[in-house]
Amino acid sequence: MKVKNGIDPEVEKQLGRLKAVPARDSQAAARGRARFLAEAAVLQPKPKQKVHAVTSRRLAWRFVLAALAAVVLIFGGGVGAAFAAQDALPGEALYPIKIMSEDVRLELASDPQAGINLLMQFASVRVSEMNQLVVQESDIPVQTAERLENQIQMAFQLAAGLDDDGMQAALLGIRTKLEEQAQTLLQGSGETGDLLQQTRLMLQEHLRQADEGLADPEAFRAQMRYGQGDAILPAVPSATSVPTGQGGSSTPGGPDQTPGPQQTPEKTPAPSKSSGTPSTPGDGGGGGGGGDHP
Amino acid sequence: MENVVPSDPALLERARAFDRQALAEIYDIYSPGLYRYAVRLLGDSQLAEECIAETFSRFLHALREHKGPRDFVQAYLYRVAHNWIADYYRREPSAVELKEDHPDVGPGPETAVERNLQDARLRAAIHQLTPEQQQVILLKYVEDWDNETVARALRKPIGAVKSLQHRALARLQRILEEKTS
Repeated sequence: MKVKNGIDPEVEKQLGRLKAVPARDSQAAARGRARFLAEAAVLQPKPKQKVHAVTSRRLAWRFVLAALAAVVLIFGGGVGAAFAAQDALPGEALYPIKIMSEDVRLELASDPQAGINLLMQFASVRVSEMNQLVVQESDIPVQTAERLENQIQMAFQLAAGLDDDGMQAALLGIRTKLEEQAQTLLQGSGETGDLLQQTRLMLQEHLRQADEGLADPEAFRAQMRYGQGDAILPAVPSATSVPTGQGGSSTPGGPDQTPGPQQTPEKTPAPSKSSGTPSTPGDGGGGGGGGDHP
Repeated sequence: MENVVPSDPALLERARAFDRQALAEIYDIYSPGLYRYAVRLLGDSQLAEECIAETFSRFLHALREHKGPRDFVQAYLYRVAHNWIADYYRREPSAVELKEDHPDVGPGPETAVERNLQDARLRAAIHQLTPEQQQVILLKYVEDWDNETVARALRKPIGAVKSLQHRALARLQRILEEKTS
């Protein structure tokens, strides 16, 4: 073979073919960018100034929390009832107390992110309740599935009210929870099976919504602002065991639960980290000492 | 020469302070080229996305620990991406021959299949080179970087890069000849 400019033309031709690369999927690219910026927001060193203010605010909240908790306990029939209620399943006598205590905790959430965490935690409790009912071969009240969806929608709406970084981090957290919930939700037969299947589809739909929010925060905010009532589960006529304002309809939470004003911050967003990748290697290609520290 | 973007010290400085705009700018400048580089080496778009995500994640962690690039962000990122890819092939040696999702543009199906096979063969041959030889071949002849920029990415003097390049080409050619015969 004849060598020109140090490279055999045939090898050069073959290498040249590697230059043709399929176009990058724009959604994947947007998700990657969003994850990167969200991770940056998480890793960003936090300023240490506001400790004092935060501490006193937290103390104030604790006081209010203690007072309200006392009220809840009195209405719930005492400490024992409140604790026992935590294991109650839909349809059981103590279940309304369990729901009420969730409401109180939600009211006391110190900031939107804490509210989102609580809502997704409660949503996981709903999935667990549904699973327990399946195991017991009991019917699942439709209101339980509705409440689950309401809690997810409320979490989305709270997330939409955060700034870009906060929203990205919140959506990632919501996404993780939704994935867990979709994975753990059991199968069933008959009407229960149908409801479980609808719930699974609803969770998947919200997963998709979370992905869209990560890729396009502004569109997500607009959707939350103008299309917030779009429940995925079909509406159900009445709500028997559901306390008022908690899940009988698809209206997310009570009126007070709607997220604060939409703080539309900068432009595009951010978050998460890829999985299953190797640990940090040395730096590039094994070159000798130098300036950078990969 | 394409893809080579001059580093902006002010941009890097802002990125070190986790300025969101600066980080976004760095991602927007470098991720398209890095993606192409990763796809070329991995032959799989999903893996390439994973590589990019991990590369930028390591970049952030390095910045947080006051490490990372001192000046040339691009060279640094390509080095990290290349390490990820090398790690991947160490963990999945059988993947060298399997991954292939290049587009079937232009020719008919038979030619496209044949070409994909040739590309896979070439990629396999490249993976038989040492990591530095791989980098020098890809950066110089596929990414079209000049010797100076390649030298920065490999953190070697230009003279050393040239001889590395010479040895890499000779070896690649030998491997390809062995494969065809």
